Amino acid sequence: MTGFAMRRLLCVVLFASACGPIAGLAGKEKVAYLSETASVFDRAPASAYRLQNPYDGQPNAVLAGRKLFLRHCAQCHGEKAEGGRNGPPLRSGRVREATDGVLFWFLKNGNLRAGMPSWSGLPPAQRWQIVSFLKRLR
Amino acid sequence: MAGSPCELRKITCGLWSKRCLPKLMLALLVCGGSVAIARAQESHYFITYDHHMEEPGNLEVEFEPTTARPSGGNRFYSGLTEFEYGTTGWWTTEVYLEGQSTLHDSTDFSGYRVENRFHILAGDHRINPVLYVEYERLSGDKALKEVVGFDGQEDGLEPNAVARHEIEREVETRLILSSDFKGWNVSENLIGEKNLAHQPWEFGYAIGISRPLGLAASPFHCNFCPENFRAGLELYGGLGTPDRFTLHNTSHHIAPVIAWSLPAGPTFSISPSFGLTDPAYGFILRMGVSYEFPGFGRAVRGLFTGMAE
Repeated sequence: MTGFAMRRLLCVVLFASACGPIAGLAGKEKVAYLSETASVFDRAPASAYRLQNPYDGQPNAVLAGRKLFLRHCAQCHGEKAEGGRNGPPLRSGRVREATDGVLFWFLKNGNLRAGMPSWSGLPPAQRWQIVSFLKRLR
Repeated sequence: MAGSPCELRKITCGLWSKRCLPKLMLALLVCGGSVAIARAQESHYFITYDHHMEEPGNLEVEFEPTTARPSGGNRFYSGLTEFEYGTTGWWTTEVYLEGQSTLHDSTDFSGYRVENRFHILAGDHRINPVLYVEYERLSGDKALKEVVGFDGQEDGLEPNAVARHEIEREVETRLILSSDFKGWNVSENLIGEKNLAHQPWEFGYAIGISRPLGLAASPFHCNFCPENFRAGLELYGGLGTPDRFTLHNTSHHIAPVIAWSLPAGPTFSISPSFGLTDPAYGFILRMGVSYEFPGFGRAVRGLFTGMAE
């Protein structure tokens, strides 16, 4: 690649990085997120339905899950999971009806296009603890 | 003169005249004062990148001091400030500002880097590829953020008076391959760096492995719970140029890393790095303190559009 072409490519990259945040792409994504989350559970593979929560019925897991929820999820979904500007409410019937395995799968994979990060960086045990908390929401 | 105090003053004055900086500072204060409970899930490597992107709309500010002494030269201290912003769920953008101080020499502003990372595939996979593109404009850089080509401790012997005249405009690209498995993170970076002044490509690599000390979270709020600590190991070095793609005469380092994330506060990390080959620095000490401002993008948009957020 010539020096000129390289510089032109650079200009495009720098311009894009400056404009992206200002254009508020993160803001646009939330709209997609709100409309898509309802159907995203349907994309869960059959194997997700077979997963069993190893912390099922353990009160300490719910407490730990609440702690993790406040740390990682509350900024978008609200401290009481009532929903926020960037994330839908998690007290919905959709979440209640989803199996533990499907919620675990969704936490692991996220929905990047719609702004939901993948939480695969959290150890599986912590994701199960968050699921335990979510399933106790009423 | 690049990187000189005059240039730095010109840049900062430009920002002030456009009244951007006060608004950005105000946004930082607003974010910091409201919701300060948000922790990213990065693996806290110093050199290696993993596939975890910054959460959309969040800004992470990190300060990384580094110190080393090249054999036969003077000890230096470099400071790197990193602003990492989650533009979207799949796109993270970063700006770095660097400076360094060398004992018995001088203190200089080294320059800046602008970097973008793009998460290619949706969802989590066994191996998650991420593309990384960075432009850097540096002179006398001693932050040692990557090792490529035949980089080594000899580079650190150059006096600042000479180094500040050598402005390096470079493009750095990385292919990041990263996996999470049962709490472990394993990341591999293949690095290609090109000096735009008709220099050849230089190659390097970085490999990192880490995991939290506790896999399950404690039900109680605590600062010293094992899940707040993360330990890991990094291996990184140069691979020569296209003409001489080799391990011979290149620097290689091994560096244990430990990070401690306060539940509603900053993350502290430290990494002593040991040189494995003769050209490498014998010992580098890196430290880091980072803090995340959730909802920064929303706060900035609110300030500029006058919307009540």
